[in-house]
Amino acid sequence: MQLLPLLIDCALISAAAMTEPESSRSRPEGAYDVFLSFRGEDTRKTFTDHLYTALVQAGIHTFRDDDELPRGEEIPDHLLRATQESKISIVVFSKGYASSRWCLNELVEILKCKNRKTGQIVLPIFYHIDPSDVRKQNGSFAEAFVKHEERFEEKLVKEWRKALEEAGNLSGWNLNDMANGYAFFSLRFTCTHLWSQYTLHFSMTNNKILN
Amino acid sequence: MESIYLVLSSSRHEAEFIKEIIKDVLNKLDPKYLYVPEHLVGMDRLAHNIFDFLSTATDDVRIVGIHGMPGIGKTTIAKVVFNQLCYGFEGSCFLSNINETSKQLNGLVPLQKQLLQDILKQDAANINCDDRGKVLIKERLRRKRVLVVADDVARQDQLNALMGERSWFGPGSRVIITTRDSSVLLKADQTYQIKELKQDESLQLFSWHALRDTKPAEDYIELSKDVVDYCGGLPLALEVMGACLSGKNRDGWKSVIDKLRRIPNHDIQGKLRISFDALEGEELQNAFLDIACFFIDRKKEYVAKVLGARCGYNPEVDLETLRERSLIKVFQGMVTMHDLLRDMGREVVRESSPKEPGKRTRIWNQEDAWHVLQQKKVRAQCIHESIVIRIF
Repeated sequence: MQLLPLLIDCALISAAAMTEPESSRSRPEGAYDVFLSFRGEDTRKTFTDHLYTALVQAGIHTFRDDDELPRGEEIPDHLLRATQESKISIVVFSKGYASSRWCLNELVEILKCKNRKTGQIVLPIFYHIDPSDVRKQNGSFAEAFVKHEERFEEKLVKEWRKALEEAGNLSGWNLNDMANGYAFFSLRFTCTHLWSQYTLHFSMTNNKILN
Repeated sequence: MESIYLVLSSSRHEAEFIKEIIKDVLNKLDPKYLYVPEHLVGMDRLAHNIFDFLSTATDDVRIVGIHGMPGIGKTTIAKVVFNQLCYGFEGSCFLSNINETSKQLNGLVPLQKQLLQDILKQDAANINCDDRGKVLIKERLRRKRVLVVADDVARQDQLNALMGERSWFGPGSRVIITTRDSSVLLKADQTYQIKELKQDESLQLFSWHALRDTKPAEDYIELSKDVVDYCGGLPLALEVMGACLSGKNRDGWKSVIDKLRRIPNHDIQGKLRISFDALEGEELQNAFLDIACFFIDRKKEYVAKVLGARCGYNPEVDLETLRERSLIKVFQGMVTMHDLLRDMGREVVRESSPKEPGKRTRIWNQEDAWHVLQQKKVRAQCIHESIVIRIF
């Protein structure tokens, strides 16, 4: 007789634990496949828009922040959640990426997710920018950091630099590789059509950069 | 003229660029995760520990071994951890039922092929023997950071053919081995033994399958406790018995418990057999036996087609019943079965004529088939039945 309430108790406790067993929990409903990080001023209406459309067309559930309003210091909750729950983060590095502290904060957060145990994939895209400029903060990134160093705490700036170095080292896609391939292609095109077909194929298969 | 051309070429190469990115993203998103039951009980802590150990970023190759008795949940835990980890690697591969597959002639070769194909994502070169496979794996995978699960390894040579040395896989790679025999785990950095479920956990799992609730209704508590006692904390037995009793009334439960009582504690197969015996009708039992002997890891459509041709009606309902009883699983269109259930089914066939394979209704291994054909003792109809099923 005494066993009965005890049993029910056990079952009740386990019932609470069972509603959402951690091990079998998959990603939250409605979580994104891809999170897009980009500098709105640079690419919102051009490249990122084309990329977004193509991703959605391919059936890939993609998040891009439509909000053009300036943000506060903290990343808004819905953005943070989207970053954390996405399987892949695509970071579109353009010339102005580093001049936005929101972009840099976002990047720090993205890399945190990558290094966390969920093992998110980060795919950098170098849009008219050299990966080494991202890695070492040269070129337009250097200018941006001169300003950052005047305005922001040293600790924060260091964190941003570290993030750019890490992201610049990841294997990703470089538009310039592709563009060079096509310049080559157009030159050859005037010579023979056949040969151009070959170079087209060649440039397409060799455009993936592996850092 | 020149400027127009440049604009065209720039937007064109951007479009091609995007196309390539999409291809890459689709490839990375390709669902690699495996089916795990919705209701797992008592596995969280262990899965978490293994995950913790394997997910720490280090440059060495880490090997984890999971051992325990059949039906205790080794493969399930390996799948849970695999699902959590698989996206963080350059390539991943889950090699199931290694022991069963390698029993076939040259049986290690298909496993080596799968390992190469899953990770390199292209057709592997032709492998004619496992020594060639070893060289290929070593050469092609040693720079790749991979996650590999070797499921149900029984002997060292099976492991040697797939991962002879740690250096076969690139820095940061992770390996999980599941086995009944902890002696194949000598090279593992950590080993974990899975223990039987505690009584409250057992009751919870059983209730879910029998009553679709996390606790038994009051008038079923004592009966549930009886069943749970006889299942000995073994998740597979709890699930199968639960599914077998689901929908039965108290008298039905009592008669099953009566049968359970007569089966010795260690005889898990005997306990699972009760669920087979409880299948209504010969056709349903035949469908189960056919799957156990011939159709594990086959496409459901294919299985349905062959079973349909055999029994003369649409076997969908039968397949659904077997699935409800937890005797088969269907995931992503494939029919699978736990190896203990498979062995139970094959034992049912074997014991119809233990000494003479020619008199059995089904012949599933090469040795027996050869024996039968050599002796010519078999009735034509028997051969016909087995062979038809194999070549369909």
